[in-house]
Amino acid sequence: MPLLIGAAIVAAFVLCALTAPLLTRAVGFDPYEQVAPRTETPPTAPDRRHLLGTDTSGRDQLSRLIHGSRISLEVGLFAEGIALLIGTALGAFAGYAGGRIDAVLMRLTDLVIALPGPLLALAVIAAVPDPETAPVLRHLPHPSVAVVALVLGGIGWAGIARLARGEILRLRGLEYAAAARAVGARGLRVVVRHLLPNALGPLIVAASLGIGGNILMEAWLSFLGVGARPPLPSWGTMITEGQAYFLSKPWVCVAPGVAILTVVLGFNLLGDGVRDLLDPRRRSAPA
Amino acid sequence: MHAVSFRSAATPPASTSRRGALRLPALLILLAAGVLAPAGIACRDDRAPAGSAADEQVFRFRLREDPPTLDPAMTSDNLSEAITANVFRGLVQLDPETLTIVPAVAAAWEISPDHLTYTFTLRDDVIFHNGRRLTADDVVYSFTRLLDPAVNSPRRFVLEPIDGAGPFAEGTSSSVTGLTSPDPHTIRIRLARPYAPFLGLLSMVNAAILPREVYDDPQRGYQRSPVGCGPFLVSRWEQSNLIELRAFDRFYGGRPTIDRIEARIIENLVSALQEYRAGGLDSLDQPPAEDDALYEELKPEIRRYPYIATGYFGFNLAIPPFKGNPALRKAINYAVDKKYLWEILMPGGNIPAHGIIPPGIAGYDPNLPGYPVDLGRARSLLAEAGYPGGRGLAPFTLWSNTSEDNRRIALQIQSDLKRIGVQVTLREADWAAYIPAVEGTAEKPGQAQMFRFGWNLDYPDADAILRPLLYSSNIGPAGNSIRYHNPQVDRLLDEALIATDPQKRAALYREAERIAVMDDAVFLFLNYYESWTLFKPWVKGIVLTPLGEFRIPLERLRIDRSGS
Repeated sequence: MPLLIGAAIVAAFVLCALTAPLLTRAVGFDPYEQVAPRTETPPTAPDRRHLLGTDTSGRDQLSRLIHGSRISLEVGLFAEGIALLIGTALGAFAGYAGGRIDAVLMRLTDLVIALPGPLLALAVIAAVPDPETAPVLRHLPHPSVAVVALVLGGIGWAGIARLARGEILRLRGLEYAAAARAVGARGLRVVVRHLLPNALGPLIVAASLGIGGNILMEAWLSFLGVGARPPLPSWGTMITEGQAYFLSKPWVCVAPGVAILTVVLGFNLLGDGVRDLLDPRRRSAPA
Repeated sequence: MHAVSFRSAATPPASTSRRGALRLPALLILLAAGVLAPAGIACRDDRAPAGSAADEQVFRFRLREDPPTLDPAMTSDNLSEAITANVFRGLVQLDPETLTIVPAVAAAWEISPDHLTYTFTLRDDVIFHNGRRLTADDVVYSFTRLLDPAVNSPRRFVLEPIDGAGPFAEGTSSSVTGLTSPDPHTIRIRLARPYAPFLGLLSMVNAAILPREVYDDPQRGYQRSPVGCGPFLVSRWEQSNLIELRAFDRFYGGRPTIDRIEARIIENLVSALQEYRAGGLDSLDQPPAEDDALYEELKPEIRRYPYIATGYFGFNLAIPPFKGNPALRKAINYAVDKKYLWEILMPGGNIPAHGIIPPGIAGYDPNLPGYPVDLGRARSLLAEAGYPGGRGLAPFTLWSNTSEDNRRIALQIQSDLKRIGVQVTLREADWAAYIPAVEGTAEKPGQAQMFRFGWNLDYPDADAILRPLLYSSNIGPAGNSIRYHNPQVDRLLDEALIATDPQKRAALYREAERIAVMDDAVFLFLNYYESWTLFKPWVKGIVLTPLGEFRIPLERLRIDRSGS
């Protein structure tokens, strides 16, 4: 059941992000444009024209919310992709090589896990004050979002590395791994062709939980003003912009808040669901 | 609505102002340095009520950040001024209400008929906080110190009209020849040429009188424990938390009624508002916005009063598309609806502007037509500029320094310009990156084509805004970041500087402003500022001043809780 709900939410979210330009066209308002009526001080209340009202600058909340899903998806996927890449490579190498290499790599992993992630992210992002003009980054569509993704990926790999190492360690002692080695396969081939595919299950679960975590983290950083740069409609930024109106005009920050809640919940349910699916002990009951 | 920072920079002769940014009363925010708003929330100071005598008069106000300096020679921002203006005194000061020059350390002065020699007679009852009596030697010392190249004051220009200031600053002379003290009660200042706003310059806190024995300290102990002769002395400075001032018993103007002042450092506005509501602050420089839930509750405690500053978007006149195209600049002015911006979109703290010189300053011209919104005229001027319906005009970039309010302003301009077919992109940068993009250098224009800026006057004279912003020798970081060069305006400003009849000076400034506004349309004229300040009902004796909420004379306040 959680799997289905999670999958549905995630599918809706991904679909929304992919078709954002079409959806906002259907809504009828550009997410960056001031569209509130000129007779009233924004944020204006939800009405038929603006289903979620307008924000502090008189922009349509709904179309901003829809566009914001792209930012969240970008950060969630890219950061997790980076984490997965680094984590799997290091973890698998450490697990397969063992010995001193393993010890060194795992202490490095411990080190990264011991660092206070949010603070480290804040510090690194603060060191790139102007991503829009930074070398390489400025060629990307959303340089400030790319920085967040890089940083989150850069600290998120440690958990994945541990998991990957554990799996490889377990699998390399199995007979089929020994058989592969016996017919002359080299280390890299054994790991990539034989061991990793069998270790994928837990990694997918971790990644799906990680995406939810990254989306939450991006919102938190943007809320503090160091994540996605305005006027990008990041959900975290939208909450910051609305916080002064929390009591008087709650829709300004409630809408992005609920969006974050739903999507993160969706990824967590999906992750849990997939784990249950892959866990032989839980699968014991006849399906 | 917090963080400000007026940065200061070397300013050339006779140009005066705090480097541009506004501590925009209630509105424009300058997020200059950190964006981590919640990081600076001050801790509660639980000592205050408990340990103090029941009848002690305490006034607590909020500062957004620690002042960058408490050295009068280095003060160039309003956070520093909030403290230094209460600790120091100069020869003369401004009347906070009328903005006329009134005596301070000097009891009287005479100006020679040729307007070159100023002779000040000092009071003989002025005592420094360290107990020593002030003499004319201290004045010579303090003024020499401000000009000293080793001190490297950003406000050296305050005393540069004095004869011999140039050679001294360059190191070719060991003293300032125009600065002498014939006897311990007299100071004589000779100027190189007549300079009408000179007394206004002397009223700035940079020209404060300092005791040599404290300020010659190579350890620079004065940076944390300043010593002046003003009504209050600094008794404690806890970084990021609190600056405490105490009444100076031997202040020459009489001991203030307030015994103790606490400047509490609270960066986050939401926290500051809660602290004010809870009674931990007696005054707050930023009330909630009108549409905030708190507004109605606090409304009776809000004081509104003019503040001498002007806000605008500058056109970079050295690069396309604004270079040599006044029609385009006028079209943009007519297209933007200033009334909607300040009265509906962001009500509170700003008055739609029609020019550069703000109300309250001699030379302010209520009859200047300016550019009320008129889309028809905007469209025809756009066609005249060579871009009918916006065709052929490449999208240009509108820069603003990062802040929520600046973003709202920029967004409205963007959507207003779209109505006449002009496309702009928005660009935000933090203060440190913003300044070079806007100002460039004296030789090379910055990259920003159009940029938000604000200017508040350091002393109430039109020269304090027109000269830095428009005079051709101030092109670049000195203030003229639009790189405006009009010999006729230069000539009018020079004439006004040496003219001595106030009426004639005002007329010259009006003429210069009219050329810059109506003929050359050098800015997108946006707003004159208003101060909005919260005061608890028990704070009495408040003198609201166009110099801003941090220049309200604290020595005239008293606390009276009997009625509240």
